[in-house]
Amino acid sequence: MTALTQPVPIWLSRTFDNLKSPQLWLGLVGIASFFAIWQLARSLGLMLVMPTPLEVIEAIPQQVSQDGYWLSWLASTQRVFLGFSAAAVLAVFLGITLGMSRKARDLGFPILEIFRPIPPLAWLPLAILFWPTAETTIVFLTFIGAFFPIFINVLSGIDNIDVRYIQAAQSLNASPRSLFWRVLVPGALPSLFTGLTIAIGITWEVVIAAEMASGNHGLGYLTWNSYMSNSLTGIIVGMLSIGLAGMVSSALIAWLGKKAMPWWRQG
Amino acid sequence: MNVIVPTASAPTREPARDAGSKGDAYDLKLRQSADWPRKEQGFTTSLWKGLTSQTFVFGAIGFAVFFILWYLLTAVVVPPRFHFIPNPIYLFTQWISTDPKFGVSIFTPQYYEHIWISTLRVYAAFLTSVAVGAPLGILLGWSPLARGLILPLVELLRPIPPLAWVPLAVLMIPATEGAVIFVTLLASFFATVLNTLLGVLSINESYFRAAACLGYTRWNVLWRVVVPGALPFIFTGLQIAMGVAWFSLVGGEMIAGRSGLGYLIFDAYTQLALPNIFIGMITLGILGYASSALIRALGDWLNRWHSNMGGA
Repeated sequence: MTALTQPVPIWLSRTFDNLKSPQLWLGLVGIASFFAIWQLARSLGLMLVMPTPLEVIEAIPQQVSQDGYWLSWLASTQRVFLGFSAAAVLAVFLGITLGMSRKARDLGFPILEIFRPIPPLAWLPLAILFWPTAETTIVFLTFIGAFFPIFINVLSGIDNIDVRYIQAAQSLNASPRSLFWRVLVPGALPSLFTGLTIAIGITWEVVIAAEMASGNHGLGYLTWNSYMSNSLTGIIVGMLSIGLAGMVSSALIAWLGKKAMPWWRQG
Repeated sequence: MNVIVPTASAPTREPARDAGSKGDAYDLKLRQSADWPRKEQGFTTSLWKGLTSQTFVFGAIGFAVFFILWYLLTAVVVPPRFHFIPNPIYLFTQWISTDPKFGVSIFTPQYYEHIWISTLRVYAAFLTSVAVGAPLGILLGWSPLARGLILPLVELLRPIPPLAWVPLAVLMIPATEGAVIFVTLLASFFATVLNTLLGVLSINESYFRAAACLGYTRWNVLWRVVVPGALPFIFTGLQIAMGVAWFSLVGGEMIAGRSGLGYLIFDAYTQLALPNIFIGMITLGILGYASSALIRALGDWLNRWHSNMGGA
């Protein structure tokens, strides 16, 4: 029935609406002029080490088809996923424990606070020495990078729950279990997802740097390898792949966030 | 801070129960509203209260457990691979030794050279990114045209992590110094621009209308509405920017640098100078923390009006 009343499918009419909006065209103009300036600078003889955008596009098929390109994707994604999920589980657990118990917080928070300001990458040399394989080293670093943003956000999410919600639940005789599931969890979710979004960005950054510094396959290593063989198109394709990977991961988190909190409207 | 709150609220109840002395309770309330109990409490009392408060005692227990565990695992019973971690006492004596085994302690000039170079890089990058990023963010927030043109481009470049730029930066920028600063700058730049933009967008529309009613010029709107309105967000952005600047700096120095704390740590790794790794890490932590605290203090000071007016 809807198909009959609706002359065009919804997604198509939405696309047409988007095509009509000036925002889209402005954005395209902005991006196009960026590439035009890049191309023009090359034609004028500036930035001679850089390849032109066209050369980069031409190089994409060759770069993508080289050995190990997709394996690099796989390796980096696996590390990000392992470190990130381990950090998420532990950070949520600790965040909830420390958020709900004053004693636990007084006991554990100061210690965690002295570790927090240490940049994740500063752990790299120690991690290389301590962990037996390069794989565990990188996963450990991504764990460190992801842990603190998630932890801090869960904690502040619980702290910032309006006390009146808790009082209301208590005056309605809520059991501790339903207080937890109906007030604390939904109250802390938006903050948790903020933490996850920050953490996924940091995780990718850490993975890239760790792969560059410790020289083990992965997208960061791929880019570094292109640098070693002086292939600038390779470097740029590597950077674009990393950017794409980060974008896809963030989109995934955003999608999960929407699924988990349908009531939440951002911005 | 914790010290004052319980003593200030406790005595109010006792006179109130006493029906005859309503005037005393009122007096007490008045004195408390003027913050007098703070003066009544001696230094030793408040110190004792602070030292016996749960926050302090539990915090101390937490630290003690942590350091005892660290010591036990590195000096007494050493599980496999823990020999790479120096024990805390050795580490501390190396850090404050006048003749450290690996050449870095608080008495050696190298230590301060690394600190100085890293700090200089971070602040050079940070200040540049603020000088460029904050005005750009305000422009993007204020002018829909600029936002439409530039924001998609920013969003296109932003997902590439700053450290992925290292190889390109090293090739493009002749000096390694420039490359490291560029990578650091890139990280803090995006944080500054996007938070400033958010700040401008968060300003209540009615302020603009009020300004228009009062006949403000565009220049006045900028300085009296846009900048103060966006300031809290800008400072959130600056704090994030400072954090990511230190983060990227360490990465840049490790991968491409020849000096600085990141290099110190990585160099210590290649020479197996274990205490130096830890000294570098702790120093980075302290410097990062101090820088954030500095930004926060500056932000609080500039945003005083905000809390005074009871705004969010």
